[in-house]
Amino acid sequence: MRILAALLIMLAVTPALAAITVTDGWVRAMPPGAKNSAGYLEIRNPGGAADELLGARIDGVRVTELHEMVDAGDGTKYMQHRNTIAVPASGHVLLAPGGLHLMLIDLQRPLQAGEKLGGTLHFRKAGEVKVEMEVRMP
Amino acid sequence: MADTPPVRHTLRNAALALAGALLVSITLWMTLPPEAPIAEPSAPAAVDPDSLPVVAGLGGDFTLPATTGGELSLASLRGKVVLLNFGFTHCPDVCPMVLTRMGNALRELEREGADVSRVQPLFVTFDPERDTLAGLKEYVAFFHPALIGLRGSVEQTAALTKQYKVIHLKQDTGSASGYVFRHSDFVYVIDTEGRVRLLVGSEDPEVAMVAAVKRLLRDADRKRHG
Repeated sequence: MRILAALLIMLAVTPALAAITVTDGWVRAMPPGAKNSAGYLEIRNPGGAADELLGARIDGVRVTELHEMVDAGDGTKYMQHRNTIAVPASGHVLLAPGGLHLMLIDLQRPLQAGEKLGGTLHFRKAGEVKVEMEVRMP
Repeated sequence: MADTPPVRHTLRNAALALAGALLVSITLWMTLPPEAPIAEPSAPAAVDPDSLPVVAGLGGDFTLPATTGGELSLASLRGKVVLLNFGFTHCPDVCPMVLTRMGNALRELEREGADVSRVQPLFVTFDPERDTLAGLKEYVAFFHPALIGLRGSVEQTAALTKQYKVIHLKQDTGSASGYVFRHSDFVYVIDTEGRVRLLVGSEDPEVAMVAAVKRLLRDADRKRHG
């Protein structure tokens, strides 16, 4: 019976372990005068239910949008403004240079390599998840 | 306990098995690396030293206002290998990536002892409506001190991008950043006589740019010394 109880306790804490996590958040260091930059990170969803990234707020940035750089296959690339980014169940999504990214619009001050920006990602199911983004020279 | 009903045994065994499986999966989940590793850069494509033919149908001289003051012409750069790229400073992802690659290539050439005073990187904006020379100067210097920015009038820009077959289609994506471009992002490697010899795409390895520059410098030396 004790084992059963232990099992129940484990099952009870499992949802906490299955929460969405965001790691390796970084922002591209840009020249002093640049208006925009891009943010990259990895979202892990160990849970059994799919989720969706709906938006983000990053400190020191007026607007943050979800964008995707798309290779048109004809030698050109273009940026797609996305309303959401799907996060599959038991899966992960990588926002990385040349693909999905957070578009940081109107930097309110120059970004220094090494500094850290706080922020919040907003998911449809998981709600708000805090992030920390390091400004990096790519 | 010897006569424990079989049903309890089954339950206990099932519970044990489940707990075990859960423990194993939690441990695995916590220790396993991400299942899809970030793509490694593909193996350097060997740049064949005999296969840098003059790229036909594009390129040629131009003269544009430059971040170094006054105007700069490609003709004035004879004797140098030129790395030429087109973009816009509002571009958050691709353009900084390509300029970073150009900067890295120059640093690599320097490390390898190449004469980088004979290599000139250029960045031409195809967004003269929003980019200013002053802003461009600060922007390019960030990626490499040798980079020169060029900004022509709308007409000059249209003519030059046509001459180099640069695709740049203005698009309104509804982003708060205003319009963006669907654009090509090649680095044009131009030899010491002003001819385009190679187009390096952002998927090509950086070393392709380095190898082409070294080869073109070597060719120029050979020609000079007969």
